[in-house]
Amino acid sequence: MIDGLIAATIELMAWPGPAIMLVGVLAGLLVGVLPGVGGAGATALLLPVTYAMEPVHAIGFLMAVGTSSGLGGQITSILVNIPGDPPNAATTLDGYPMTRQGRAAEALGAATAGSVVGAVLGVVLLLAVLPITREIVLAFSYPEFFMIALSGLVMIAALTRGNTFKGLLSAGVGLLIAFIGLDPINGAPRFTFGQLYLWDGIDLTPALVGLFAGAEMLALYQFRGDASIVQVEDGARRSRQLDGVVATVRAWRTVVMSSLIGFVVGVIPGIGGTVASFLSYGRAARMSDHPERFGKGAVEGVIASETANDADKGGALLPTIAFGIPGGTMMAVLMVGLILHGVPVGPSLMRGDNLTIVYALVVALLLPRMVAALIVLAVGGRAVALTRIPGSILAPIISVVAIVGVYAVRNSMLDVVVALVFSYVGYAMQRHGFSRVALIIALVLGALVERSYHQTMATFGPAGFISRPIAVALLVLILLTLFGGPLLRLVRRIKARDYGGTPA
Amino acid sequence: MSVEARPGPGDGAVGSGGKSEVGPGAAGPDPVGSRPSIDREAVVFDLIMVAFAALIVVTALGIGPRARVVPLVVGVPTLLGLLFLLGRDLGIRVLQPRPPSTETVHSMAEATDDLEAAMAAALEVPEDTPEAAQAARRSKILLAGWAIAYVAGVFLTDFLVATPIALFAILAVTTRRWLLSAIVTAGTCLFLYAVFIMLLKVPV
Amino acid sequence: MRRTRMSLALASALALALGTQAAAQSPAGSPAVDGDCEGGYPTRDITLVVPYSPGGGFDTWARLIAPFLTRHLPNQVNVLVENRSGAGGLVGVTEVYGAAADGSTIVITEPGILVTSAIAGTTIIDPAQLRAIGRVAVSPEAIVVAAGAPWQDIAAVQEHAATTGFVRMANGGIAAVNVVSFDALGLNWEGVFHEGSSESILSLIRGDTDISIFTYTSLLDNIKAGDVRMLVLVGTQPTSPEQPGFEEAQGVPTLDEVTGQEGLGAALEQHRIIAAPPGTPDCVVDILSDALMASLTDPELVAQARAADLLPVPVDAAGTQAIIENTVTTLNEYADLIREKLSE
Repeated sequence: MIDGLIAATIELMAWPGPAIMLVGVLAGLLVGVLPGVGGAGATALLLPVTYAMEPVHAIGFLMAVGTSSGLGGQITSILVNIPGDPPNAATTLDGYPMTRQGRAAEALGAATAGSVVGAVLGVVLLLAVLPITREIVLAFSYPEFFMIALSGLVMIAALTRGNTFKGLLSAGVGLLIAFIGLDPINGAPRFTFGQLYLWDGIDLTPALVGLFAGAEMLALYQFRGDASIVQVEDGARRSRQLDGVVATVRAWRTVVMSSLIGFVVGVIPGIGGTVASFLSYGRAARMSDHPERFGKGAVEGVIASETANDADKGGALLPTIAFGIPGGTMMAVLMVGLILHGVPVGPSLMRGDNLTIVYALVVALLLPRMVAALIVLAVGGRAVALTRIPGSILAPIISVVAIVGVYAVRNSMLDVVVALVFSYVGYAMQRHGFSRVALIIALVLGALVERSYHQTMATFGPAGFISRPIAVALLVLILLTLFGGPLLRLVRRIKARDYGGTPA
Repeated sequence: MSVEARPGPGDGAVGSGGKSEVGPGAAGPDPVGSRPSIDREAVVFDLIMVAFAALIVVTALGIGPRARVVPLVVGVPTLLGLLFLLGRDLGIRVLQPRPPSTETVHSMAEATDDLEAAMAAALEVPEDTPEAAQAARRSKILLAGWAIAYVAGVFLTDFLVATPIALFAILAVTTRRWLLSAIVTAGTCLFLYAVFIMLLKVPV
Repeated sequence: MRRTRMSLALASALALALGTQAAAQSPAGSPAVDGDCEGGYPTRDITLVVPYSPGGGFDTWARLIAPFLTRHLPNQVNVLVENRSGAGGLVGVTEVYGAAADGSTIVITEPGILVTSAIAGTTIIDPAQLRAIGRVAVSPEAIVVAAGAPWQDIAAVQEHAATTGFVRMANGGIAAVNVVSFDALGLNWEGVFHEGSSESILSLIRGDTDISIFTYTSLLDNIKAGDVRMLVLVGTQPTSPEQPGFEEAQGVPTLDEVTGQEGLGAALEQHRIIAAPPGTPDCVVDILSDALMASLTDPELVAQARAADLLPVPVDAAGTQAIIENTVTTLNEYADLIREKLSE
């Protein structure tokens, strides 16, 4: 295996490999920074560029574009509260509050360090399970999908502490929005009111751009005028990216847990980084000693989200290698690219000579992100200056960039209208104490929850939810998330009483 | 689960874990709705959401027996919850209102635990004076106006025409610095052209 | 395109009115329209709409054909490919359906999906009113089971279904092809919905579902890899060794052979056709059709197609119109069954 990896690295680094990958990294970072077109969309758009390349360089280029966009997306998430790519959405929750507190550099450092570790652990896990890829992929069926989706929804309760009622209502509305489109029974249109546009449901990208970017820009434009994003006075000590790196090392438990969550979610076809980062964020908030700090600038929140959405790419490669079935949009584009280059995808990859392709994929999965991380660390400090631009100038610029990004995804003006509507919805939700995060999580998971529920009922029946080991284990985790805290306190209370102390 | 994390005095955080927070007791006063008078803006937003949930629920009644199961399971409680919220924002108190004591102050502090609320609070500017409130309302109308004018512009002309004009118009009207607005608009367009047309070759 | 969409409702209403008029004039259903091409069509660029996102089969074909159409059309006007994806292809086709019937906008699509939607009542499109320009290629559909499943042929599946009462079919929604072919095979089935063919195949391999049916070319890789076994080909056997999947299809019975219903498969397989809006004048259709036929037989195009593992199987305008009509007639015989399945 080591020999194979070294051979693949040498092949990838053969000239013009490094130059091609560097261009890919820069393109990926750029589209990542811009809301709208994300990593997967950019790989699709740039696919024709690779026709003339050697297959191994095409792999390097497409992987570079697709994987480094997440590192670009974290910059906008942290600095201006705009997820550049949907998987970065969870990063805004603590990253942006940190920026407002003047800790943007620390957040960027932590996000970058988290991404790097997540990327490495994702690849390590991938290599560890490479001999049993098929078994792993086949172990997850509808009941497991359902439980994973459900555990994501349960996180909403943890993320809306203090106002759970409105949080649950926000989630309810998010689910109802998610049900618009084709029903998961017959594939017939439902809640579309005769509009062909609604057949495909409300797309996540315009909704996300509106809820976060749009709402933020409205608020910034309306209330702050000449003021900028950062709230602290100039005299305050500026944070350093190194602080973030140190914080990541300190939060190693969160990092490991988030990598695991990211990897497992990545294995499941159809869901990816967005779900992984929210799940991991919620888990970090749950397990933290100071859950109340989350959402108000907890560096662990940034780390959890960014680690998970980089580790998932290791998992997403599994179904691609094992069955030729893409684990996500980016992998789907990559597969098209490989097929166009005459590289066989699917089970034959794991046999004989084709193993070099697998190793090339693994190396290309990791290498560009290391370069991207270095670039972000080098540029990130300067990008912080962005947050000092007056809101009345920054807000219109960002709005237009976001609108063009949304429009460019599929040249649809209706997508722009959706983004604008969600801007006002997000603005109103924020003002009246609703939870945009709950709505987004519900919107992301709604289709999966319903589909996997019906799939389970149609194949295993209700027993499927409680008869399969992995599903049961996930169910126990969900129940612990819901009721574990009170139980634990009860135990502590009894213990304290035994020792004659007073309950804390 | 909403109350477990805080060692609150008040209603005693001991036994109220689990699902009880759906009930009115744990809903707690939200930072905006706790004003003495009716918050008209909040009521309008509640109404919009009630209308949406009702539309989905009513539509769901008319579709296939299996396709409507999950939408109804989610839709009906959501609709009821939103109606409850609407009633509360309208000032209808089904249950005894909490006495405005120190406890309420404490709960309000707790309510800002909600990360959304915290961010909302950070953005909130004082609208104490009638003038400030009126100015805020005017700028809100202006904001909605921009979006409508922009969409109308796109449908009347073209995306590529209306977008830069809108950017320039907003900048110019707000900053009243024409040269700066022109430079910023040109720079933004140039950047977008470089990324989307030259790099990504997006078909337009 | 944007202004087109704005007046879409009006335009499609007009087109519908025009279309029905044309149909009334020619009872056979062939929507022939008189008109002259004075001024020498084509004089300006032609838009070839792909109703799917870039990268798929229809997109690949469109981009392959477009430059050759330019070469073989009078005046060498540009043929621009435009992706208008959404609603499983209906968005793009609906736009072209309502576009000006002057040969400036054409679409690449397949009749099966349009007829299914028309039967389900989810589209304003009347497929028979489209003016066919020609067929580009054809792929049969394949009924597959997991390689590890105990059934070696379709008779074994029928036997199994007879004892258990039904088979579980992994599908991507109710479509004419799965309703009609399984009805013809006498197989009672319960559908398990998946997002696309990949997840359906995974469910077969896991053993969670029994059987599935998708376009043969989309399953070819998994068939070659030995993950799934093909039991029946719905449509025609690949006839030339150059056709993708020729080898793997040898010895696999077709639906027509199994059921004895001649011509059923031809109405269900996937025909990739190019069509113009209803009411497009005959002379415009003829010019476009001639250019398409010349393109599809252009040795250079054939070579490029073969490099991408594709093979053109051209059919001219009249033949393609007949294919559409055959699809409409055949599938409409099953209209009640399809609607019944959809309402479950």
